[in-house]
Amino acid sequence: MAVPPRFPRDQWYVAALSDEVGPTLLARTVLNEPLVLHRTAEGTVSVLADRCVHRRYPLSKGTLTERGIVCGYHGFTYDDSGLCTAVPGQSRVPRTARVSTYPVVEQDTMVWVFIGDPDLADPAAIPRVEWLSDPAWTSVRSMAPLAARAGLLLDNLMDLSHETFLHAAYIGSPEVAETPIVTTVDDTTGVVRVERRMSDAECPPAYQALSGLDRISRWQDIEYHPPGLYLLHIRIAPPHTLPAADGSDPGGFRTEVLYAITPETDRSTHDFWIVGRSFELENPELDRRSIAAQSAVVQQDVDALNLLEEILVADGSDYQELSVNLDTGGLAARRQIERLSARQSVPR
Amino acid sequence: MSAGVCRVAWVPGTDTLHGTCHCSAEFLAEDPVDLWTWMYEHRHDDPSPPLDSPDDPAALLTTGAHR
Repeated sequence: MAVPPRFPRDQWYVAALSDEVGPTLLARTVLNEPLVLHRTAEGTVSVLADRCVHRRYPLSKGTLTERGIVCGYHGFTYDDSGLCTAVPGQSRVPRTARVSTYPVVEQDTMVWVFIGDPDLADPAAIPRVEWLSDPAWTSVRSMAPLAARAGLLLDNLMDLSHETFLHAAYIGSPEVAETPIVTTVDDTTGVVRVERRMSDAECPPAYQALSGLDRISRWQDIEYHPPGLYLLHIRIAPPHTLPAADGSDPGGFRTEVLYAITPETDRSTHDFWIVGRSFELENPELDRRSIAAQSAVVQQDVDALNLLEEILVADGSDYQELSVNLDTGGLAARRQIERLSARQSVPR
Repeated sequence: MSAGVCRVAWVPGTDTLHGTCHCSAEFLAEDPVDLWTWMYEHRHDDPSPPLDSPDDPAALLTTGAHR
């Protein structure tokens, strides 16, 4: 295993955050397939192939009208089912004039699209993230374009020891890299969990204002649903304290970090992120600080992974990686990607 | 151990990884690649008893006491 594996087809991926999709045309490529998204008059999300059947002009460069998407090159018009309903200059519309549609599910404030054989699309396979629709929680969110393959982002997120070195100014502390992890893999669901429990750790800058503490008990529990959904459950509390037996945790606070890892091309990725909290729900200043801190952390990852992608391309795949104990979770995640890839269908 | 769940933990105070398969087989390794290779390639009907508490993981490794 020399490089991170390619992500598989026949899977659901987050194509957009719900609030990105409105009554305008949104172009987005997922797993090398160009898509055009928009919200219909009924409020649902339409996803079509972003290529006019006539001369392959991107439909996303056209206009959205009551009749559908009008291609900006020669005016071919498509309804939400992908059917071409009008061709300029003639009354007959060729029977084959249709663009592909994609299975789409809007759930938990994200728009999921199935890339691959649509007959294999099972909406029940999309993992739920309940806190995203829980009124007791609030969140901030964005997407960072990454000029690096999705496997590099997965490696990055599954081994948080990099926080100590790459993110020291925000969320890093010495204990993250020093604390042993416990990794579990559910072979039935493919879910990989990596648990890192620090009972007495330096409080990193990003949490000092929230907690008012110099030392903290810090939990980082990763829950990865392959291929594209990564959840990080965080608990911050006074040192050496645990939640009560009944689950209450008056001394601690919880935050959630979600990443949707969506390959754009073989060497670029949509790095969606959402940061949630269940306290101070109506605090715009805290929202602003959370966005600023998370954006800065993500940008540090983007800069590092973009550099790694350049190096992978320049060096080729003929080298041997060295993996250490901290890579146990990342290697398990790669294994799940390979498992899914082995059973994918042939591309259309 | 739940059915279908494999677990890998660090043996406290060592550089050794302790893997437990959902079939209850156990393995010690100092390389995560070796450990996952064993996890997915070993026989799940191995009748060998589980490892004792790994007080001396290095000794277990050198004697090949892995399940």
